Amino acid sequence: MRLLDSIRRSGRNLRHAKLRTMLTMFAISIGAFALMLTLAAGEGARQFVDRLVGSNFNPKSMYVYKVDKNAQEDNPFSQDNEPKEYDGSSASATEGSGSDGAAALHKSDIEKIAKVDNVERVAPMVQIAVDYVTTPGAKKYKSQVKSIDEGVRYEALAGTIPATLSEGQAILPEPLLGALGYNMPQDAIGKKVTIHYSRGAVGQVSEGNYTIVAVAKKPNGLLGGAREVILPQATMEKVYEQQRGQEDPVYFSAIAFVKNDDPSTLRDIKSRLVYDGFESMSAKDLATQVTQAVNIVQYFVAGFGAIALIVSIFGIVNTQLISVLERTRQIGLMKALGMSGSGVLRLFTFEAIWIGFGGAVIGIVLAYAASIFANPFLNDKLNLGGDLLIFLPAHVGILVGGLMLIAALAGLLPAWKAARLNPIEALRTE
Amino acid sequence: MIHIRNLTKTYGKHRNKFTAIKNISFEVPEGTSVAIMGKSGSGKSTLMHAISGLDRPQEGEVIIGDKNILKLRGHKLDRFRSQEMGFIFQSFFVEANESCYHNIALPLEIARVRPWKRRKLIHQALEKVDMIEKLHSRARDLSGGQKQRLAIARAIANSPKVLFADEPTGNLDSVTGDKIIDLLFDLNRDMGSTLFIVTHDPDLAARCKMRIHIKDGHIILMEGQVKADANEPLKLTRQRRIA
Repeated sequence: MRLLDSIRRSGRNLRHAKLRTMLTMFAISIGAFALMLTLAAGEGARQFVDRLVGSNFNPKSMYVYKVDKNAQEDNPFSQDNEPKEYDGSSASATEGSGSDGAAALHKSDIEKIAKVDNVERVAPMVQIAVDYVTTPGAKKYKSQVKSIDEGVRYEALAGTIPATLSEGQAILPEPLLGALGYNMPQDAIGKKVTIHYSRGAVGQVSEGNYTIVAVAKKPNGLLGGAREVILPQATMEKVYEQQRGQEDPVYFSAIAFVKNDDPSTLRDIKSRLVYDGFESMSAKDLATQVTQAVNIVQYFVAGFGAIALIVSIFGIVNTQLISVLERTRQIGLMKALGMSGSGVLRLFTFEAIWIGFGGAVIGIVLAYAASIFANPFLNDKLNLGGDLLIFLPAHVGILVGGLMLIAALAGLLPAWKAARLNPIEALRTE
Repeated sequence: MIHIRNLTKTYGKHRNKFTAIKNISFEVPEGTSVAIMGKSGSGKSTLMHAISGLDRPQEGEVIIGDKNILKLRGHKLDRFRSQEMGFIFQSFFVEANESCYHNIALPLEIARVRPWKRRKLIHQALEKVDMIEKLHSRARDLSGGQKQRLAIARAIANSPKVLFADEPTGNLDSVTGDKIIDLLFDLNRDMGSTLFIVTHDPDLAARCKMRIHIKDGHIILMEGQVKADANEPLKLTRQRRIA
């Protein structure tokens, strides 16, 4: 029997037992439904993470830091139990808190990072102490300051957020707006803000006046947004060095700005940095880390779908075994007419595959219908900024194909029984 | 000629051993009609199964054309059966849920006949049994006689060399049965295929050109233009049956 004839005839055989076929398909569709929703939710979560990271972090920036090999002893998760000899080479960035494992970056390190291929420039991250922030006529407020070059993206409430700030410019965070006496974000644009820096090691007190070029939105939800006054990188470095005094400047970390953010370039830079003894994390790396957490939840839910599917496999085996019993004479006839055992095997396997296909389609259609109702609701409740359940053609294809394969395997035992029937005895059956 | 030589088929082993047919030999010219007669358990069905290659006798040869079909293995025998043999059964064995079209298509699909040729053969076969108007009717909606005509159409669709009919009128009333017999012999005459009919109906057997009577696995009588094989004792042929 030709392949196409086998497929058609097996399909017709199933249509002649509509109720039984439908019930078996429904059993499979439960597993297919659960698995499809899992895949769709996983995709939705991944896209959400990408959106979140993409809107908060500059994709062309890389967070670069160094791991203090000595400090790892303090890390409770470290597998390395060997004691390390003190060699005085790695000074901790923050005095008295070496246990976080971060080693300080020196000027030479920054230069080294800047020399890596495809790195445009490097902005060392500094923390500077601020006494207060104020505007003419307003009270003094405690605040922090932050560099524009931290690779974080901000959303402007007024003005435009520039790629980088020139000397004497600043961005005001939304939380300070009202306190400093501005009712509307637009009112702050072009006005001056005064920042009073703390007394540094040299003991001198300095103050800076900056023109507000933009107002940045406050943080919303998980990540991003501005709480601090945002200053030019050059200003930050200058004040830091002043506060540090005679000591060599050391940095916690640096942001490397790369020329392009395609994966191969990022990979090359990363491996070069590792070679030079640095750790790094790009926006993509961060997205991957968050996605891994999503994946674990996804595997868990998929496990339940898989259990439902395993149960339905026995449904297929059972249905097909009964079908073989019922159609003993038909099988006998086909074999008498010269159908080979492998032809019979194929015919019955195709029936099982049709059942798998039908179950998959029903499950996916139901899952899609569920998503039409669930997506607006979930978006409303969770504020995801997009659909949670996203159906990819590839996922649909994998699921349909996978279920057809599983059904084929489940149908093998009954099909094998059918193929082995003796035609004479089968025809004698009443 | 179709040669049957020294066919022996036993079932079971050791003390339970039972010989269904014992050293049966005869030959028939192609295009003839042969009735295989005998009581239940006489071995006539076993003989038919052996000639059609459905069963494998322990000994003997069945030579159709130039092939000993008992020497054919697996797929080759299956292909020979699908291309050169047709089967008609007492209880029709039509697929009740399928249309007449798809019932007749079954052996053609098994014989890997191409779709366009299949259509033509199905129409021809249904015309021969005078049921073309039932082309798309479901088999379950047919009467007994129509079902058997459908089964005949299915058996002849691929123009087989040999046609086997196992009690073709056993489940039909006499009027319908007579029509089926007429049809079978007309087709046998027109198509030139050899017809084997297993029956215990003497009227049906009387219309065959040859009759082979079986009892306890032996041929007890051959009538008509049967030519016994050299191995078969001559005294058993042309003997009148005592009623």
